[in-house]
Amino acid sequence: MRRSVRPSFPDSSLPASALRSALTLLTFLFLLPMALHAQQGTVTGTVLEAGTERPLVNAQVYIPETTTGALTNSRGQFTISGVAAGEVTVRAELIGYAGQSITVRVVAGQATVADFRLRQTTLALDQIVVTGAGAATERRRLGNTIATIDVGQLETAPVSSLSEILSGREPGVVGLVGGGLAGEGARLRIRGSSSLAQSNEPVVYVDGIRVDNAGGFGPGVGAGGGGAPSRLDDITPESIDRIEILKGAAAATLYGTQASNGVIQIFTKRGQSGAPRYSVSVEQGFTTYPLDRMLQHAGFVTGQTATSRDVGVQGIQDRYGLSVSPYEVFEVDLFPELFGTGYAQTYSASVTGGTTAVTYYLSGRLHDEDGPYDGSSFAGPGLTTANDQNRRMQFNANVEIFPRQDLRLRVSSSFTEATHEVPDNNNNIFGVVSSLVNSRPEKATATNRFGSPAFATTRENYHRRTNQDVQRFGGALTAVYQATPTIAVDATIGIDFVNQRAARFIPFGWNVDNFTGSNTLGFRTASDRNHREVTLDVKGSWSTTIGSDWTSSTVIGAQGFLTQTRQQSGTGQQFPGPGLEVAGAGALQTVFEGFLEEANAGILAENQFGFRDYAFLTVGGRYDEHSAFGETAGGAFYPKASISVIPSEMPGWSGNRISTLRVRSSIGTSGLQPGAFDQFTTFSPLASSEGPGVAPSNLGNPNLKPEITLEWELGSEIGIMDDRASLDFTYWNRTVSDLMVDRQFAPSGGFRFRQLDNIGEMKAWGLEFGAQFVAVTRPNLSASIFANAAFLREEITDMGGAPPLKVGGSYPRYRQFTMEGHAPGSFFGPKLDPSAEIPVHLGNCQPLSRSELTSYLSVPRNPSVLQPLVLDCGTPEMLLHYLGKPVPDWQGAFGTNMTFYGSWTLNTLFEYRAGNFFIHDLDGAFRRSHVLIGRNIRAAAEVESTLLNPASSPDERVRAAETWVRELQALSPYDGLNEIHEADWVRLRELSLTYRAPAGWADRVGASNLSFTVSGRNLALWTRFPGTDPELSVASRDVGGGLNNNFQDGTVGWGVPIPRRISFSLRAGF
Amino acid sequence: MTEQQKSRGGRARLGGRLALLLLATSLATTGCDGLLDVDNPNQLVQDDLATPAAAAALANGALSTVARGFAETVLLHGASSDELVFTGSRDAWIQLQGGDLRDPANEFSDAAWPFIAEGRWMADEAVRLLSEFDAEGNLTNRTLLARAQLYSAIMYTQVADLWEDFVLSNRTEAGAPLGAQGMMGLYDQAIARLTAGLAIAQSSGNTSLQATILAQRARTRHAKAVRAKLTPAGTTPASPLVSDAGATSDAQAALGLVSGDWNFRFTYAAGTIANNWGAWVNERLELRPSNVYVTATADDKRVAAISLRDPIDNIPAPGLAAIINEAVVARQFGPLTVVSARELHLILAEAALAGGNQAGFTTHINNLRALNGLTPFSGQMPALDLLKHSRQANLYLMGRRLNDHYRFGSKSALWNPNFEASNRPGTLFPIAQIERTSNCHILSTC
Repeated sequence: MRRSVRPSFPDSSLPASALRSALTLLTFLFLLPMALHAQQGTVTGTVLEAGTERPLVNAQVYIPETTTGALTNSRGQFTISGVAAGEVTVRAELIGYAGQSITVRVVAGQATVADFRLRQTTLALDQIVVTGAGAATERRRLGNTIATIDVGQLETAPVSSLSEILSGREPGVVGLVGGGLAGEGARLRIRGSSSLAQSNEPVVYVDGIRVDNAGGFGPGVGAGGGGAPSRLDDITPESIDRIEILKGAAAATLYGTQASNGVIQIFTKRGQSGAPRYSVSVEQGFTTYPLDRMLQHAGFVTGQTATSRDVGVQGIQDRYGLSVSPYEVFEVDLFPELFGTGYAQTYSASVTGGTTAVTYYLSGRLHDEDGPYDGSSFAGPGLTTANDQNRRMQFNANVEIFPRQDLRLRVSSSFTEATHEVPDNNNNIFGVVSSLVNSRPEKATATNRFGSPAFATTRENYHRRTNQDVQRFGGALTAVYQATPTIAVDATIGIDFVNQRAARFIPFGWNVDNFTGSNTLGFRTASDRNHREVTLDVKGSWSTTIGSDWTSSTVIGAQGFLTQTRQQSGTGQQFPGPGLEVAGAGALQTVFEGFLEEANAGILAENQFGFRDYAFLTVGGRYDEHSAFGETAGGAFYPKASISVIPSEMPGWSGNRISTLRVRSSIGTSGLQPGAFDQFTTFSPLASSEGPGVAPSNLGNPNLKPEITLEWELGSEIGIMDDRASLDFTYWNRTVSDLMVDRQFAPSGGFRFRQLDNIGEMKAWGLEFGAQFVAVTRPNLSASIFANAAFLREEITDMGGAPPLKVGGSYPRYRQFTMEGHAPGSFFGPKLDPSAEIPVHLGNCQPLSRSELTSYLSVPRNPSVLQPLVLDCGTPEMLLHYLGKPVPDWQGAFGTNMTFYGSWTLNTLFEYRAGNFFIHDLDGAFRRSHVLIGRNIRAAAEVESTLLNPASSPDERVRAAETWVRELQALSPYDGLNEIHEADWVRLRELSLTYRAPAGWADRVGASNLSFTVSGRNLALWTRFPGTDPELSVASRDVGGGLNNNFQDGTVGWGVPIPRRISFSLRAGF
Repeated sequence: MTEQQKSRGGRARLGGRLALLLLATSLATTGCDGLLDVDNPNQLVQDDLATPAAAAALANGALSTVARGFAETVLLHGASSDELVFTGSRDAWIQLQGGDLRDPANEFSDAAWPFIAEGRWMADEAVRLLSEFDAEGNLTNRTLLARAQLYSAIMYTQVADLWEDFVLSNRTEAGAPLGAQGMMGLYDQAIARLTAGLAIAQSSGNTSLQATILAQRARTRHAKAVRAKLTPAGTTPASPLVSDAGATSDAQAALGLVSGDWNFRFTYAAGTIANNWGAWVNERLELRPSNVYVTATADDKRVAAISLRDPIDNIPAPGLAAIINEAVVARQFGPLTVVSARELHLILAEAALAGGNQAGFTTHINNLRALNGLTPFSGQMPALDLLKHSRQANLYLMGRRLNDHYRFGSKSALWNPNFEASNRPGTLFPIAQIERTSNCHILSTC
């Protein structure tokens, strides 16, 4: 017997130019059903949680096999009008609860009551999913993993962006935060990395339309690596109904090329018929940086008077009021001078309503965050300092029209306007934090307040500003035609358009302390990025029965994607005077223009066979062509198959305490295409003093084809105690063949840039566990706990003879490589020679005995002359010893959801990463080791002071020297030594306490419901990592692929820690 | 047939039509070649250059890439000799200024290599294609070919001066390391290129180009003789002075075509290419002219005054002052001198001194000194010392200092005695790590 399937339809969009004619047609169409109303009645009732009798909000109540349904309000009430008279089955569903069906007799023109009690369940095999199956399908039928995040349940969670919604919810789905600046976007990774050279970001769809999943500021604009926004955060969190996630190729085959990294599909909220229902919320929050994670500055002076090294005893007295002696190490806490308390506010409102013929959902949101940076006291005369600020105004309008019982049209649209500003940051010599972190307190003067030893003062750096303005429109039109009870056709067309403008500005005269020498006459780059994604998606499905035991569902379809990106920028430098903030005012001007167009088209087909509703077999495939494939590569075919068996539903099942058991397996392939230009040998324009010229650019490879990811998985869901407790696990195994290696051909051949070549292979496997337990369900207390964990093991098994690739190019500080036999992005660097008594030499790799060292240190020495004796000393191989990997074996989350006394809700979410997990503490390496811009933490200052102090004994200096080489010395030419550390961590990511006010309170203000929430985000961190924050990265969210984008998350450098945020919010419904 | 059967049949037909429509749509979507024909007009493809219309672009491309590579050599050389001193954050400069030249993984020599190789290849490619156009009678402006030959020769000479070994590859076809003999052959290739270019310049009556090519050929011939004295590395030559007949002949011929303080320079601009020297020294303040040449400001980041003084007039060396002042004022875009009348005078003076011709030395060195109105040399100091000083002051930022250290037996005060520059005269830059790890000849995997 085939189970009833709730109507659920892929969504889509309409080009603005066709809107008028489409609306005319739609107006005509939805007038047609009005005449049918005379034969209809109404079903009304409540949906409560079994056990606690708590009303359930946003439960779906619907009439199966029709398009008729409604959502419950905050009191659990629903009304479905336009129900055909007669005996009907009404079904209520909500994620996290077992669905319930009730049969009632509807009388024309009357209201019929149907009340539901939904029981909490930790398994959701009947849940309808859309993504990856070609058509709406129950989860039970799919052999592959598909995760669903019910965003409606996160209403009170401390999340303000999509990045935050996705973080920690699903095993194997990781949000890489990167930095703590306001509005900074996260990178997303699903089951690690499936590509070396191309983007590892999953493709993202909103209501069936592929959307821009890029990040960054724009061409020619950046603030040093951090603070970059993610375009995914343009999506209004409050507008999201649910998110479906396909974790890999086995599930994402029907998405073909570009789907190797998984697929995230976001479904926005739909309108609900009935009188208009309004909801509003106001949230006020405060953010602070955990300054206890930043080590205080230490230093010492060498004499009473100022020298080129330091300001002397008197200088320290003048600056800090400290009385110190020569060579006495002192500490000062400078960071509070830079940061204050940030402030965030969010206002949102929505209205939903409609009739049986048309429903609507409209929402608006304003989010404004001014981060903890406070540079107002640093501003030079007539100048403005940078700020960390993010503001988004977001609007959504979704309209559904039912012109006939067998036809549904949906128009969804969104508009976002965002502004974003950050100071210079991260691994940037002109970064505000980096100049402070690297400061030597013993160099501080009246004009160089923190003692910046190089490049610019911190105050000067505060004048460098980077900002971005974005307008974004997304629109989709979906038409679903149920031709017969078994045949349906749906078509979606839509567009996602991003108009992005960014600017980097350095004002005239920013050298207010007369320190910096860079662009002192000013500099500005203004850049535009216009990105357009057009999606066309047509699918047909046919469901039938074969005999009494078998069912068959067939889907065929086609998809096309057209992507176009136009980029242009102009730079002007050397302004004639202050006050000018346009690139055209610069004496030296340059322009850039770029154009990128890609086309992808594919056809897909899938058939699913079901046997007695407990065994299902699915086979399918997709054929793709892409404009970026090489001339000889042709198209690509991606097959898939999956099986799902539910023994617990077989006749005669007696699983004792096991209430539900499902086993599943799937196998499938998907791809990842090369870049638009990678197949061509190209020359780029390079002007000369004699006129326009060209330079070698791309070597070219006419044989380029997509990477092919083959993935199989095996898993099971087990429910016990009537599914109050459950465990699901998945083993997956992935092989990426034809791996595109960004191969460095010998540069002596004239071409500097690397060339993609399908010569590699990468393998990975993993385990994913999810456990849930509804521990208590009593009238005054409901409590559940959850935990998830994902194990990941990755290895590059073949690079086709190409040399290892280093993240960060020739910049030696970055120690991450892609190398055969290791996980991508693994760390390599020097290791101390364990055989040496004291691993130290004087530049010739000849070890010194203790007595020789004691003799050498009989006089004061600078630590710089003491070199660490490392394995393979003096050869390039000394830098190639394995030091660990930046991706942990385990990552996951755990937490609780509690409701007590009916009105109080407490939610917690802890996130963790652990096991063979190493992070590169680069700014820490500078603070421990660098001769000019470092040695400013106590341990380093004490070693340097001891070695330089004439009063130190040789033995004291030897001990200091040993500490120096074993614990402190780092950087060139020993990059990686004493820099890479274990980084396991646990973070209290979310904590929220909500009070749902009694109905009487709400009534007094004219509301139907009222709630108050106090919440915290990132409130605590437990880690042994010695650096600022193991979640930081020198490079934040950026666009595209490439080694840096893919693997630099293992390197921390000069970022601000993830801020703690405490928010108070009020929500009301009307 | 019942109504129900009719209805079922109708629906089945409808479903069939829909399926057909869907299939047609699918085939139309994927079968339409035009859909995949995207237009990305950002760059030239290979075929675009195989036409005489691209001749100027090829020659200009050779100029830009060679100028960019040249700037890389000047910066590396400056940090490794005593021309620059480290004042910033990137401590791989410390390696170089300490005389640790033989680390192929040094980030700066490693990063410079591709630019230098690109300049070499692009200039050769320009010569190849322009020669083809010329042979086919399609090159309307033959000066373009002569210019490409000049740029090619400049890159060969600079590479031969500063690298211990080098590789000539073509696109994906890796070449083998040249070895010591091959490196000397680079000078010969440069000279051959210059000779061919000179013929074109002479035939077209372009005296400016003739002078430049002659000057560069003099400089290349002189450099070849210097390298010969430093090969094999390890000892300071007993007789460091060079006297090469071809070099002196070319120098005299070139000086006959120019006047005054002539030079041939690469220029840099916002609209063309930047000078990496300016970026590192003027913008980032990572390096500055060393204390051998200047005194620094109180923050140790900038030039306060010229400290290298003319040994006869005891004033800040004016030739040096002009170079440094210009480089500092020009920020990222200061010009770099490739060859100059000053160097030609020095080549002639050195040849005279090497031949024991004191009068000749005096004449030529005073021609140089006259350019700045300095007191003529008349034996106030040893001639060799004046020659060394004059080269140090007038050839600053041209890449000559390191080999002058080696052949004259001097050392940078910043060199660590344990490093090669200090204890192995003649040590030059190695083949960079990026080449070592990608060249199958070096990896023995061809």
